[in-house]
Amino acid sequence: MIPATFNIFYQYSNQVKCDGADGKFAKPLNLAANSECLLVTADGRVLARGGGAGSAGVILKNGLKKWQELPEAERKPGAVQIAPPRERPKIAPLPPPPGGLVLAVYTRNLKRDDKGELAHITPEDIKDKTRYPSWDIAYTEPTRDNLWLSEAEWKSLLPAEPRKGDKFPVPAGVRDRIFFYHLWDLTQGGLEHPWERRHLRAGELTLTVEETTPQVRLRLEGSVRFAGGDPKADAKTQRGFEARFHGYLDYDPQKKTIARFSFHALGECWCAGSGDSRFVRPGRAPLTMGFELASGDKPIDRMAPAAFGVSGGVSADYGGRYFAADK
Amino acid sequence: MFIRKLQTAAWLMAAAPVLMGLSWLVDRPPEVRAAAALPALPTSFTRTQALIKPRADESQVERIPWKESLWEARLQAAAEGKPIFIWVTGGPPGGC
Repeated sequence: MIPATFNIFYQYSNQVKCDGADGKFAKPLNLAANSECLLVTADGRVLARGGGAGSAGVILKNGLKKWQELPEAERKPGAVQIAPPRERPKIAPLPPPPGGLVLAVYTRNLKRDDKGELAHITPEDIKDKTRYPSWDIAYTEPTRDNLWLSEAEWKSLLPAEPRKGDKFPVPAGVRDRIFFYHLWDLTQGGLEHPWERRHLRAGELTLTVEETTPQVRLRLEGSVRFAGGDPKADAKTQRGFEARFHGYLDYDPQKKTIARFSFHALGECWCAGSGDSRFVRPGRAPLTMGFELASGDKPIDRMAPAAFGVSGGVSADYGGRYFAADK
Repeated sequence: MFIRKLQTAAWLMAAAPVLMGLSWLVDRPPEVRAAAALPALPTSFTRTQALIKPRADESQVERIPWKESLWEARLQAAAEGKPIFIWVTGGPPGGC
């Protein structure tokens, strides 16, 4: 089978606007429910669909059975004739900015071990539902998102004449994109409480030149603190997240490319931070985000950030709030 | 919940070629690139970064050869005589 994703938050609105062959295929599928999965034929017949815990396996099994029950003449290669679209379909996703950078973003819940060191949460740990309420998988594996930087933005991170010891702030647009769109707790599957400017209590990100040859190495440092939520809520339920940043950017001046860009935000959240209230761990819980230059080898490396759905959309020319986070 | 569903999907997708008698779905490892000679990073940093990133046995969903364009998926499915598995997501699979 051919595995495909559909981003409900920004492709769905385009699906609604579809006409012609584009709309004839997409609209009847009504891809409107987050985390739903479907098995469909190339001409749009639904073999199985559903959502909820454990549904993917059921959909695959039931759908493949239905597929095998179709006449062979309908299943063979070329049985469905489709002409390639003459123009970019409305439901087509936006690719990463030309000449830009994509960083994989991993969000992960951690714990403190007996020595106070950060450690992975284990399947044994999550049996304690007081310490780890609700979904198990939210605690034991990281989630994946992507951070997009345009060519102009990543070049703005590089000093024109790097000198050891020089320190300068990360440009506001890049800083605020990281702060407001990539410090959410995506392990809990919810985008209901994204951090907003009114929640920001403090934050800074700087780059310091560590080396100038053979590569330019910049050290990234900083901190951020978010707090608040519903202003009418009890102070005990005021959620928050604070973290310290640490990382490195290596620039190859010969190739004029960023060879490495790795950093993380080591933090703690309370009252479930930006996440769902079902996941309130006692006290302050370690929550981390790791950013790493994506290799581009995998399709997931080219997918749009989750923030596109929350930031008010993004235009075909890479406008929109995601690309103007500091405005 | 979402990642568990995707893990199940990843397993079934791996099993599907056996069911369907097709071998093209076997996920080939990415092309090995010659690593640039970059200066090493501090051990404490790399250790923390490794703690956050997926281990080798995690995030199987990243290895699935997803089509993000339904049209590309549709064209390939029609040409090869296969159904399309669509996952409706809020971002990259394995995230929201």
